[in-house]
Amino acid sequence: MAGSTAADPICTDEPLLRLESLKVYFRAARGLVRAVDGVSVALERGRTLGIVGESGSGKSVLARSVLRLLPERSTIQTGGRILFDGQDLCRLSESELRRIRGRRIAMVFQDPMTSLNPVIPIGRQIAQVLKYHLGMAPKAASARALDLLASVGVPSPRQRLEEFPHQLSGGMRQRVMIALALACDPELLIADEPTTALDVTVQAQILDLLHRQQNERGMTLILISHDLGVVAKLADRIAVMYAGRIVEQASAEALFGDMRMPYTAALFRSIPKLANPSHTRLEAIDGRPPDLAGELRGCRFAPRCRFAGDRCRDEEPPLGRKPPDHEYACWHPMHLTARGGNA
Amino acid sequence: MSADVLEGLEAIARTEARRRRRSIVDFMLLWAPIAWLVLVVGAAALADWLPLPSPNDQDLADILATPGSVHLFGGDSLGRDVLARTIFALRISLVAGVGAVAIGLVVGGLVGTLAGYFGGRVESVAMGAMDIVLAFPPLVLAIAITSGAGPALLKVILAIGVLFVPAFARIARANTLVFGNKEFVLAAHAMGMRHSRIILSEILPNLVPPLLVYSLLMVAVAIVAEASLSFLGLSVPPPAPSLGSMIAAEQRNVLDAPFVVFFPAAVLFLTVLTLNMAGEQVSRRLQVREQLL
Repeated sequence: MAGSTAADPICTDEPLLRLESLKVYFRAARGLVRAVDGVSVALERGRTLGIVGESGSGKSVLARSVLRLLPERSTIQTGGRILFDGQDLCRLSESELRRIRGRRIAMVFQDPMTSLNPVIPIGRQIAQVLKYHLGMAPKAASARALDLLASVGVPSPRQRLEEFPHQLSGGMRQRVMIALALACDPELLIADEPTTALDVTVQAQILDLLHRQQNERGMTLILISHDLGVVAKLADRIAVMYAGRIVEQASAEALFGDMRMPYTAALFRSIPKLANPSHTRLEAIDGRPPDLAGELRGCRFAPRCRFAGDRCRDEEPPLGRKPPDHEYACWHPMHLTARGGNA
Repeated sequence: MSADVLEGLEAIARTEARRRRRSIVDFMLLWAPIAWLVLVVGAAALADWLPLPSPNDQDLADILATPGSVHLFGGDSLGRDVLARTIFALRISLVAGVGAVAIGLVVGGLVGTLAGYFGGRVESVAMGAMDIVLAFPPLVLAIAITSGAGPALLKVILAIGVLFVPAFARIARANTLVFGNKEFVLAAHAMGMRHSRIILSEILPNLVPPLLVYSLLMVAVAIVAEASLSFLGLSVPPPAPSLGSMIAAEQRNVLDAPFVVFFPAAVLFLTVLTLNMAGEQVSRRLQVREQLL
């Protein structure tokens, strides 16, 4: 639907963010953990990329590695590039990165209970960022903090400025987190499971808020979730991650219309549906993701896949491409719809 | 039926009375120590202006004088007023206690916070240095420092302060590790803040409660340490009064005039006890607040 607005050739030619075969490994006691193992994605300005996968699939590591937030001592980044607006973030110095963090790329974290400083009033936390990045005077900064709180739908924002995080509900705190992230008008917002810690009604409100802010600011958004349903609401493009790799990637319509990878289908089936009669057995995916520190052979999903054959267990499937831009890594892709395609 | 009602009313009255009694106990547990500490600090601070005889004035007629209206705490073996000496000694005790804790808090807090925040080599060097200080026999270290040149009180403060640094460093490091892993620190990092800013404005405010409670307790420990050093003759030289040296000097007269030792010892005991009680109360109150977070 949003496709027609992106006809501008500059936008289509140069994505705002492009990850090229990014690999992030951790040195751990039990060996080398390949948390992100060769991920390539591109994201155009103003669009939304949804990244979906189970816990431990490497989504958060991927998100944090974009801002180079991972602990330097235990992280090895082998190869790969992170191109943000044409510059490789991996080559920037710490001080150059600080000018991008928070100002051009901002992040919202999963747990609003712990992502605000418990001993500082929220108004001061927002004003601090404005003073730091934009060099605002204290008065102007607190006025702007007030505007921001109002714009993310915090009721009676003037009182809230003086309040501490523990005086706010989870949903309110997440709104404050979003206000904090939006403070410097970033070009890219990375929301790492922004609704996971919230209850369902609040989830919808937060997603609405993200969507509205994105439209108002023309912001680019990366939305990370384990819930395909959450991502489906906002994303233009969806990447499904499994065990450190992207296993399927397509525009939202193409993905939901024509799922190829059995893992995506299994994730989709595991969303509880309201239309089902009550006491319907919930569809879970049996087993657990592989240990990323171990030897990985063949398709990483094979042990849990009901279609897996011998080839799946021995040989890793390459990321195949079906026109126009639907990618998936599977030896036995599925055909959920009647649309033509070769296996 | 009316008997039931009466019984119920009585039960309510009983629980009410119990609650009132408990709240009085709570009240006293907090305010009695504070009252004593205010009295002690006030007396020590205002000692020069209080209507007291000079602590060093000797009077042959008052040698081991019994406590009375002239000498409230009696007189010592040189005929000096024990009350005046106790109050001036408290001054030394409190200055030594607060000073030593200040050194421990500032140096130890800084070392521990940096170690906990940066980890790796910074941590192993910093905490290794702390282990060396800890492994040093404390008394030997204190004697080494106090035998150097310089004003006695300053040396005592330095000696006790150095001994306190490792403990403060460990507490600061442990709490920094806890808060450093919270998402708000990661969020501050993601907002492009410098390490120095993250430490100062994100982590440090969270270290205040645990370090405050520990400081109160350590003031008590430092006062005892100063008294012990002065008992051994390592603190301020005579005739300046110090609680430890007063007790040490009058040991021989304990059977003839127990009050000469009793009063300074009692004041020392009460001050240390009330400091511990106040620390306990403060930590309890902060814990309640933390549960709200």
